[in-house]
Amino acid sequence: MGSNEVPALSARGLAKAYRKRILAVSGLDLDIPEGSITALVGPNGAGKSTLIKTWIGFERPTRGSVQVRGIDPWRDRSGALGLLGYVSQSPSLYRELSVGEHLDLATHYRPEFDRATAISRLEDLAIPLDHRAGDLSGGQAAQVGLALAIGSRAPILLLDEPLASLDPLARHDFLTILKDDNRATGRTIVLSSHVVSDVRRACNRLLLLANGRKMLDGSIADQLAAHVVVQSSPDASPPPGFVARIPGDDGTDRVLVHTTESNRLGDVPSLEDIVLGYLAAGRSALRAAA
Amino acid sequence: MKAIAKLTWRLSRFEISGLALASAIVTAAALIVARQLQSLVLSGPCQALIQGGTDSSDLARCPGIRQFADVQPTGSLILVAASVLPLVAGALMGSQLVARDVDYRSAQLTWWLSTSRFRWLVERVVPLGLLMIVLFTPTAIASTMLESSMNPNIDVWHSFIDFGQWGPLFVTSAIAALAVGVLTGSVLGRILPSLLVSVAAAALLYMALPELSVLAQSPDVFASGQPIAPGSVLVSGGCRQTDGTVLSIDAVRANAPASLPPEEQMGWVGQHCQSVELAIPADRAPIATVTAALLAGAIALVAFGAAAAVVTRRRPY
Repeated sequence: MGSNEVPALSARGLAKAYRKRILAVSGLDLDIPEGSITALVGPNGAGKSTLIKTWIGFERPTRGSVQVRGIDPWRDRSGALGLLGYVSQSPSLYRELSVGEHLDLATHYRPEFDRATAISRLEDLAIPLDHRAGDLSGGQAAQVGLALAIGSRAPILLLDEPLASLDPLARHDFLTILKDDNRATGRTIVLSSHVVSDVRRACNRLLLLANGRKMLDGSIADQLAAHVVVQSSPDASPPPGFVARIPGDDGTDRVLVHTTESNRLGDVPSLEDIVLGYLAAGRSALRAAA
Repeated sequence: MKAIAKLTWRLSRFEISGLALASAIVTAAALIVARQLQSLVLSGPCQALIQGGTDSSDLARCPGIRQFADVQPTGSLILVAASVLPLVAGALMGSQLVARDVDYRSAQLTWWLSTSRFRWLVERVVPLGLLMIVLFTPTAIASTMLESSMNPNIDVWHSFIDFGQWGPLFVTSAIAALAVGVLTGSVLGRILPSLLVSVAAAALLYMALPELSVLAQSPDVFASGQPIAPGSVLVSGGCRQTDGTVLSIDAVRANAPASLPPEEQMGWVGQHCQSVELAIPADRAPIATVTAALLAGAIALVAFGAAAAVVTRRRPY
């Protein structure tokens, strides 16, 4: 991203507190570049949904701001929403309406809605247009939500844990469609999930949140290149570039290490190793602070 | 707009069908009873007995009066049902409008798809507002015919008899109840609590709208014994002072010399005031009707404006 290029999505000093002043996110500064597929990863309560909901204008930042291609969704909601496609965490279809009627609704609200593409995607997945949304499975409902978001021709898609209720095959179909769409249209996609193995297949960027704070933000390839996993006994002193001991139940004692000029030896980590390592590091920091 | 009207129908088809059926039944019942009463054509002197008492000689002179008196309570019941129905309908439909989408989370879809929530709200409210007009205009006409038949010797348009239980107020109060329901649903965002609060608000409207619009009219002063047109509203009794001002009897009594024993105070009041009655003349009924309609319209506008403000700011869940 060039220095003058406006990011697709950004947050500056973002903090969001809910009732009882519980901070869902705190001091977030980040940019999501155009054309990327970003995996927004973190444990439950990390602030993933809150971040997405501030971009879509459903939540108002307590402090700081968010922007969609330079537009603040709280100041110009219609401007921001016009750029966004959204799939919510839980199915949000009208149970009484058929799939086809949802497409009618989308066409009504967004005259530029690409009905033909949406229908073609649904037909590929054998989801009949005359089916009541209330009769669809969780996976089918998520696919209808995705077809609506893609059909909106919005240049940015925000997907809030759409994979949570899907079976493995449905997850595979969903992620394949996402990847193909990104390749064909260059659309920016943010996919929130707490299942790392799923997003690895589709995403090229990783944004890791824990306890409302950013732990990692960057290209997945860069993250993989920047870390190694080494074996280390618990009583050994931490190696240079130590990030955290990777929690595991296989009895091995593995350590995630940030590579340096002097330290490039070790196993190539999986994305899950990196995520687990940084989450463990975040937890240790939190304990130390407490 | 067609897509939204279709959506409204698909989402609320059972409620709309139920209300249409209820409205049709009440309208038909009002027309049938009105016709039944009209068929008991009473001659001029017999008509006068309808508002006054009857004795055996009256019954002999006017054989239809007994049948008329038998049917009248049914007519009164229909009028109550006809006047309650629009408010219940407005509350039922209005309370579901936003609350349903928020409760079932479909607001997350439509508030994203529709880039303007205000437009979304207007498009959802307009079909229901039109529905209220279509459903309850016939009921309003039928109830007016019934009221006229129940009081053949009175021009009901210039009468406060059963005020609020017939006529154009049905439609305006239905729309006011609809708007209040929409506001309640927008604030609470849950179906059942919104429905309960909206029905309570509709009950308040049912009682307060006619009452307030009648009381907004200033009463005329009638000397005791002076005839007051039938269909007028008697507000209170009072005392006309020598300077022409009218005070309540209690206010005049308070001016009685303190030395007078209580039993003599009324006598003193009788000597010092001309007894009068305060009444809102029947010919002000059209003004009261317009006042009530304007009041309902104002309530609807304010409630809708507040609902729009809430909808544009609230979370869709």
